[in-house]
Amino acid sequence: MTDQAATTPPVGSAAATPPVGRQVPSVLILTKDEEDNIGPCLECFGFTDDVVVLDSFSDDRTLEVARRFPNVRVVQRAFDTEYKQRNYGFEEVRYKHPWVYVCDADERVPEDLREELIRVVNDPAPGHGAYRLRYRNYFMGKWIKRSSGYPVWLIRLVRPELVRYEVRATNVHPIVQGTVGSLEKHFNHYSFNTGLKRWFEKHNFYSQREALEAVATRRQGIGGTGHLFSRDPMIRRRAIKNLSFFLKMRALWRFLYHVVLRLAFLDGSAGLHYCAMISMYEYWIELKVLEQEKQWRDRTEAVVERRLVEPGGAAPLAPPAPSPAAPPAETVAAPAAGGAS
Amino acid sequence: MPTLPPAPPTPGASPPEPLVDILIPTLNEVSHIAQTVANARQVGDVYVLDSLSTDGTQELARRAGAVVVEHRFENYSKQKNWALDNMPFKGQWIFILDADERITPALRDEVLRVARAGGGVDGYFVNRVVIFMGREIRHGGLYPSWNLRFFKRGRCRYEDRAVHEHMVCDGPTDFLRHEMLHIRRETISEYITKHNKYADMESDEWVKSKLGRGGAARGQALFPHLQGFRQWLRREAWPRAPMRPVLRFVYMYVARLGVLDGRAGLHLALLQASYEYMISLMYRDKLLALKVGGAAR
Repeated sequence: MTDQAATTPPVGSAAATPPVGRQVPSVLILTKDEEDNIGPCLECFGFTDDVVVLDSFSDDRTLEVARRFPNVRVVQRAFDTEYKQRNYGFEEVRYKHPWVYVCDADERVPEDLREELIRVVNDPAPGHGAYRLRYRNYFMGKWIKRSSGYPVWLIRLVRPELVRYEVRATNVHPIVQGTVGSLEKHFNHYSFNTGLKRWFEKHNFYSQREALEAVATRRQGIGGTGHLFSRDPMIRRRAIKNLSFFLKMRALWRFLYHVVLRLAFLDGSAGLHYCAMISMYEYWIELKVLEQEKQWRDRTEAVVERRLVEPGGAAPLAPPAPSPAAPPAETVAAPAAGGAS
Repeated sequence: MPTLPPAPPTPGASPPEPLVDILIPTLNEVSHIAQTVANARQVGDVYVLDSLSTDGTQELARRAGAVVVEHRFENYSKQKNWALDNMPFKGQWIFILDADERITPALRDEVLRVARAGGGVDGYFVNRVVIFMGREIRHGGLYPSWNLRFFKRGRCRYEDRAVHEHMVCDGPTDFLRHEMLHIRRETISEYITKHNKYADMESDEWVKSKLGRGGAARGQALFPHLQGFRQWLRREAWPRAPMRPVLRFVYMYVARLGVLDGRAGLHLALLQASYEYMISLMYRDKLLALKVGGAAR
């Protein structure tokens, strides 16, 4: 596929001690600038001798931390798209063991899941190419079950040769040859571990992207709602999303949806805070749509221009002097063309 | 102090010697500086004190007709005091203008009139109106906003404080009638980025004051002159107030009549409320992280 791999040490650098006579899974972790997360994440995998960290050239100390673990091998590859990076991890990396557990740096494997993983790889059901499992999303030290849309099932324990990722719309989707089993236990997901500042930064960026999309959609008008009843769930989702761009007070609706329909308050204050943060993000989208559609910045310039016009009517020091019959200042509506006048 | 020259009788005719000098402190202001200098030159000679911009601000300012001097930035008050001590001003009066501010024609006339008349006042407070989201913001606690910006050279200085700097004058002060403009060109994205940064710093402050405050300091703060009371309000009471985002919104939008600024008033109040909320969340999160000893796991 891609051949941008920098270092690909093949199998096994240092062996930890796997339990004698039992199979263990190999582990694949994708990273980019995860120096705070990677240590605690790797501590979960003392039970296996084969952990691969597939790193997108981190700028921080991620690799330094990772290399302290004797059972870790580091592979580096420049990140292009998520699905290509993930497929690389299955196609180009050789593992010691037939089953691979796929994990992100902000996830932790608790003891009960570890035991289940070992049990399953020692006695996999025939025909299974992968297993899916659920996770617990943690915020402010609490599992926010209702507010985070639990349960979401993810395919994470795989036979690498039987699984490939594909892109559908914007979501990365694993395609499995063979059947998919289900694990009973959960992993834990700490998506806020790197601090709220980073979360807000990301959502500032996402809301910009959404707003651009919303403005384009709104320009096309509300037509084409026929897709709302499409057979294809992806197209249906898309149509619902497009329709939502015409909604006023998105933030409020989003909040009510979580609290009233999904009973987010049962998660306690952490859940409510999470819903409020998501709603704030929706508010940012709406605000950025307004900013563009109402041309706030151009209008700001126009207001300034109007305030700087001489009381007599003539612009103060404007290089192109206005015609003797100066137009009334109020007619300034066009975007300011650069220079102040 | 120097006696003032007799006022030239005709307004509009350029005065024989500089009466008012304009000082513009800058750091990377390419998008504003040419316009700011052109605007300021209507009042007098323009001096730009640049904190080593890397975006071509100096070049643009020079081309627009300003005298440019550069000096490394330490803090706002030190930087401006350095300018007052070292820049080659010639006028008897100085007007300090930020790069994103403009002097309205009415204010210009008033400044020149006051400067010619002389009189016993050493410094004048100037009112400022924010222009944001395509509108003059006249409520929500953002207006009026008085700053001492126009003063007799040598009679006023900045107090030596790192933040919230303000000026002190030898003699009496007064207020000018007309206002200047404060242009906020930033996008919503830029606004959020900036406030995310502020919230991070502010929540750090709160954590510090939560951890490092003994009863003595708090008692001292409780026995106020006004300064102490304000400190207590800001550092002790406000961070503990429940529903701060809601309070902030009600204060700006209802109590300070932000509602009269239309849509812009609503969104400014909501943005400010979001900012309060971001501080609270970060504060809680940071305290929690300290308690658990690093990230919860």
